[in-house]
Amino acid sequence: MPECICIMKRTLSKLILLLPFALFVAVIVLNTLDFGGGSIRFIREAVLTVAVWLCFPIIFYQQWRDQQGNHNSLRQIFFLLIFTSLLAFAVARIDSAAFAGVDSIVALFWTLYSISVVLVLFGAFRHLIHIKRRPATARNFKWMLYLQLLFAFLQGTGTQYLKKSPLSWLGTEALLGVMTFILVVLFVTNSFRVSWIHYLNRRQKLACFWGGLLLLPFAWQLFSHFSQNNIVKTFSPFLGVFICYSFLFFAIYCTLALFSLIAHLPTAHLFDRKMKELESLYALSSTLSVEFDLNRLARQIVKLAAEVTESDCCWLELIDPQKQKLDLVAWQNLSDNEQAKRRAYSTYEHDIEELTQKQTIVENQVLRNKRLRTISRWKSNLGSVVVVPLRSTQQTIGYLYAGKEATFGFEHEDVELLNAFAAQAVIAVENTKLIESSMLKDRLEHELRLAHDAQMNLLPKEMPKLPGFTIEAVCKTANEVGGDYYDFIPLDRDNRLVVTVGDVSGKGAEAAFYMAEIKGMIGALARTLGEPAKVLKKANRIISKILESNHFITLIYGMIDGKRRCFTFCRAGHCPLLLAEPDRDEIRVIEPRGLGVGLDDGPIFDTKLVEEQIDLCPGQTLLLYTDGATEMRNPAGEEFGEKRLVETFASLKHLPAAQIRDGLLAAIDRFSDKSTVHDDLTFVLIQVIDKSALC
Amino acid sequence: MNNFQVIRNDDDKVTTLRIAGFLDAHTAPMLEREIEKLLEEGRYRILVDFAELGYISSAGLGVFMGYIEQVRENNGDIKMCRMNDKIYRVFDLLGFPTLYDIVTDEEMARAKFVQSSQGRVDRQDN
Repeated sequence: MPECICIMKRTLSKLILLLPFALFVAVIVLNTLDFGGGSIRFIREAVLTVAVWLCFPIIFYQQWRDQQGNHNSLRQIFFLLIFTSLLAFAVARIDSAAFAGVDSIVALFWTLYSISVVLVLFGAFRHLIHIKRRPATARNFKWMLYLQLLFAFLQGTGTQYLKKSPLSWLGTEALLGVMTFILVVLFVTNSFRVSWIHYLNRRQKLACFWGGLLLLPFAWQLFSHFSQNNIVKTFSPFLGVFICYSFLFFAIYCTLALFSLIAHLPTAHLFDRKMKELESLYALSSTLSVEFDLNRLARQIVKLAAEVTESDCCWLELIDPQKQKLDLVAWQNLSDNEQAKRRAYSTYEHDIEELTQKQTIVENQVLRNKRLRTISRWKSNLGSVVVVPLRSTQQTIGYLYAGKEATFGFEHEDVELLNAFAAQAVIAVENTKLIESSMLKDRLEHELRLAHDAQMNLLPKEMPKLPGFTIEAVCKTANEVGGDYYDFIPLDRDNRLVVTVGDVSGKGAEAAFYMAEIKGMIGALARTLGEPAKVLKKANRIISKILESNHFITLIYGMIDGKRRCFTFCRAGHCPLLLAEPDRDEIRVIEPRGLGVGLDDGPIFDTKLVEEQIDLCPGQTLLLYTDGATEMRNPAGEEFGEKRLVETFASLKHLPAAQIRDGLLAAIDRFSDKSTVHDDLTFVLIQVIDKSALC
Repeated sequence: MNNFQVIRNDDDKVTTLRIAGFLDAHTAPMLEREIEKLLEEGRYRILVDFAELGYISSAGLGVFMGYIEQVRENNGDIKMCRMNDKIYRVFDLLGFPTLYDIVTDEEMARAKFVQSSQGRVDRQDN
């Protein structure tokens, strides 16, 4: 339903626009019938008044003007007024020549033309008046229009009725005078609304001034045309008066606007400049938010600074913290030759005692005064220079220079503006730095993830198949990369398998690199030497030369001999081996002597290393682990410890290897209460399953 | 994370470093700086008191390994004393007692410095 009403309203409003034309047609019909007589005349004028009143929406609803801007309205006013004025001149000639008569076609045409022009011009003026509108603006304008309509009606129909009215004692002339006075006051009030002038730049203001000067005689000529021998009056006195008043308003508005323009002209330059400053700063800050390339930003800053301060050249130098010198980053109007010369002077000595003062330097006579001499060495035609330091929170990061050929070229405002540009430049530099560092961080994170994947690839992807044994392993790293590792190396002969578990001291990337190295080395040595002690001794001799002196690696290197059913191993400073046996409640902690790899470069390591052999029986489970398991802490700061590990292992020993592994991990998780993992954690389980084998 | 602290105590021959708290990858540089300062001053007889130390990680152990060679080349030594069982266990697993003097009390450590100053580098073989 509401939609229907809407549509109906819209159609009605369109129909209303047709109504004035219908009324005009009615008037013309009335005219042709020519009943004569006063009452008919009165009705005719009344109908015309209503018609004009109904046309007012044409004035009020000209939204398109807002989109087209002030210039369009100004141009329209200018051309319409001049054209109408010329036309009026022609009409006056024609009228006086031959076509006299009330219903002449000329009068009808001229009336229709002038009322249309008035309506259009009112629309244009309304647009100008409503710029920067206040609550009273629209009200004043409407009052003006309606009173004008009323007074024109009274005067048009009027003078003979006025004489009979109770107000007659005032006198017709006096009443006319009062009406005109009220209207003129309203005209002048509305004519002070000339805010559109503020938005013109200096060039436009000048154009408007000359245009206005040219327009003024035409505007007043139009008013005088309609106030004197007005053929519209012969068609309809009301319309004649209405149009006459309208052109009076237009003339008054134009005159006052012209005066206002004259008042604005002297400050136009300054006003322009302020606008330019604002625009440039706005442009700069909007570039800042989208542009992250420092060089492009610097170019933009320099370009805008040169433009706004009207400098002959402008350039930006940034301090290179590594080389302790100033780099020319961006420039405007510096010749190639000058740039080359400038680069030759790029040492930090560059007027250093002046520049370190951290204050803006304004040098009005570069050549006469001593300071800033270095600039004049590579830039000859320089009269005045402003140097603004770019100050970030802690230090000066560079300088913004603006130069003019004239001496005393910079005003106070220029210097302030350059300061503002320098502040923007600081933000730009800091922003780019921040973004670069965050991009670097992202890249590092990405690389660490790759390193993590690479390291995980170093660990065996699947558990080795050795008849009579189940082997399970797990490795959890505290960081993206860690120093723990385990490996299985099958040897060709005798159903043998080497099992190693290792832990490189320290954490992170450094530990991970050593881990990769030791893995490769142990793998190679195992295949050639095989025996635990031999391999570890050799590995220690090689690795202790490579390792940083404050790093070491702990290892358990063991060999399962499937045929002989035994496990031979060496412990190089690593956590002990735990052995669970089916017929014993206690877990055996086997800890043969041995130094960590890298603690000693050979002799002591070799003498201390002891090889241990365990005979394997079905149901036995060997547990190799790294200190990440025992050093896991709970939120209270207590360590999981060897004792808890042994107890947990004892409680799980009858289970299959995979379940023991999961049980151990779960126990440690429960204990640490998911607090952060401090160290890498590795378990390797070897379970003897073949029950047919003999002990 | 628990704080780490080093308190230095000089007498005419031996410098005692009393370390307390957590010695791990984050706090190891503090101890490294302290030892480097000693080496710059030419004080090569260093006694480390572990009584107040709560935890030592592999990076912490690495600190002692990093300087021992330089210290011994200059006829000095790093001796360790008053370790609690847990800390000693860490050193022991690695085989440190083979390479370093680890003793129960300060006096014993000082006595060992006196012995070694008589021309003999004594290594406790545990």
